[in-house]
Amino acid sequence: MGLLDVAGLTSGYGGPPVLHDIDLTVGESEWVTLLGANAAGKTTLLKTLIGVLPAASGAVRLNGREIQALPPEERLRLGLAIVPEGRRVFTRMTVQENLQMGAHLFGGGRAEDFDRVYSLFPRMAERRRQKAGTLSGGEQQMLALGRALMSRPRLILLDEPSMGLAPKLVAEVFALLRGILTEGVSILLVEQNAKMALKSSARAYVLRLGRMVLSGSSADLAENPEVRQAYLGG
Amino acid sequence: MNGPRAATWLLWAGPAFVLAWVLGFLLTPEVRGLAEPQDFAGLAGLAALAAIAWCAWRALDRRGLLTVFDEARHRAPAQFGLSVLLCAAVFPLILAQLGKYYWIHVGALSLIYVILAVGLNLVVGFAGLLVIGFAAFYGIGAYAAAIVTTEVGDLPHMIWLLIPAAAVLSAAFGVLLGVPTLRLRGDYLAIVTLGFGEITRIVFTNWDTLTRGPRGISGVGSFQIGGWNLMHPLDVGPLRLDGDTQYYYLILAAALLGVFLAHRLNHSRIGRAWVAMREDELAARSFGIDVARCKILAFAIGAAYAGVAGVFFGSLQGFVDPTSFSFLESVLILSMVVLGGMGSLSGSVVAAVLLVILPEKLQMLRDYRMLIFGLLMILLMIVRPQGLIPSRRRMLELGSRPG
Repeated sequence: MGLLDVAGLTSGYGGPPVLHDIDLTVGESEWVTLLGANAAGKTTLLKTLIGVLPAASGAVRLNGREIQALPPEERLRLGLAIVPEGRRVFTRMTVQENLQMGAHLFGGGRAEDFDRVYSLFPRMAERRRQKAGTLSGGEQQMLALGRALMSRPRLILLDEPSMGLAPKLVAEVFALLRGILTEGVSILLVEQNAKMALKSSARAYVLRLGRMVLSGSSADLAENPEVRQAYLGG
Repeated sequence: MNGPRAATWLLWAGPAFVLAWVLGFLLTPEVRGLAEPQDFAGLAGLAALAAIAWCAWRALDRRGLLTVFDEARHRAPAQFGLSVLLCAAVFPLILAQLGKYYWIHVGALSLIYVILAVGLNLVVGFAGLLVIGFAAFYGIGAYAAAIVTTEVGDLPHMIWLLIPAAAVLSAAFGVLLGVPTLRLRGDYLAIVTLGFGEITRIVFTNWDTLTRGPRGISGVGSFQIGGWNLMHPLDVGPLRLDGDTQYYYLILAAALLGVFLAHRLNHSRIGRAWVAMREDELAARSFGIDVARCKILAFAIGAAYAGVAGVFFGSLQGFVDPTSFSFLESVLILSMVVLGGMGSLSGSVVAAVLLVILPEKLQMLRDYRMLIFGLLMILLMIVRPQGLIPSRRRMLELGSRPG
């Protein structure tokens, strides 16, 4: 049994379900990639996992505990944090305040957590009094990641962190993620940048039209002709 | 203002200057109408008004007085606050010496609007919930005070208890409005709250047995301490304080407390949660902010401010009727928040005082009063879209940092 176990999960926005019968596992200190084209249901899945969208049926277990009925704050307490799509930092708050928001449930952040994030992202330390809206896209991505780390998560869900970033910055983000992984934090990465994601992760899933259609080790999936054609450009 | 010494000097001179300006404005001879330009007093008055308007214009300039004051304020907030307070304290004494008692009443009224504007700013400026029918909560507080003190009988100290009672009652109505509108945003929320405001006003007008309908309720109880009724003149040494002056100080104390509480709230966990929620509701939810609770709390606290303001209003005027809580009233309070700067407490204070005094002063324009008032508002928003005293957050967004 893994850190995160999803079994038979169905979810949507009130109309016909968007996700059908999803099974997924993320182990301790494991990096799992979720591939899928636009509108495959990737973001819906992440929203359901963190609890801002209710599950229609199925079970989500974190560390063996059923969490599908819990509100987002309880899931965050149990160690589930998200780096949302499009970063969504609080642009009118300072860098420091954004990090405080990440640890809002825990009294606004412990000193050692700030130290940890600032040592991971020295640029953030330089700009701690600056408004997040004045940061570049890459810096905002780092801030979103730092904000997620402030709650000391066991598992971080990342929704397309490479979106809109220059290749060099993407490499930087991935290097940081590898560092976080070695600290014992698990990663579930949703990506369109399949090549890089498959290279970094241990296992991967492919979501198509709301159903899991493929799963396996990242190396195997990188060789799979279907994946190659759909996500790796032939 | 370069050296810190100049700034310290300004801390005391600044508010004193503003006080002098406000007094000058108030005491400018009334112009009896633009139709009689041959009237010498009228012309002199117009000239004085023009000079005052020019001062105001300079104050709004990017490097103008307002900006300089704002910098001084941030450098030494405690001293600045103290000097503003001193000016507010001597304001009615000067007017009483000059025999302008009516303006003391207007001053007390403007302090009630300070409470209202600060309360609404918590909801609109901090939590980002566009509420338009705010006068409803104000009316609920005022009617609560009026009905209880006239129906139950004016027991000496009951009105003090009515302050917390009205706060709780208004807050309860705030929750009542907040719960069904949780999912509404922006204009939709504005429309529903507008509807709520209208319903409340219509209930005030038509529930004859309770509110006496359009005739209103007179004889609202006044504040008393022991045998001392705050409405009766009081002699303090050589000074004679009339009822309005005593009410002025009472409401000043309440407004101070209100601003202080709002300031603390703004820098608390709740305040941060409000800002996060206003900026990005989904992201806020992902970080464990209970958005529903936050919104309802904002409604309740804002409404409580209005309820308390209502008690003071009812007691100060001694009379309440439905026309005091009309749609225009709600718009006026919202204008104070927008004009002062969303999320800026000091801005709300300044704008509230300004928007109460200005229409009073424009009485001489007779029917054109509201026309000129509207024109001035438009001009102000063109010159200062971020508000008179923008909050530090807003300054960034609208890109006009002072200095």
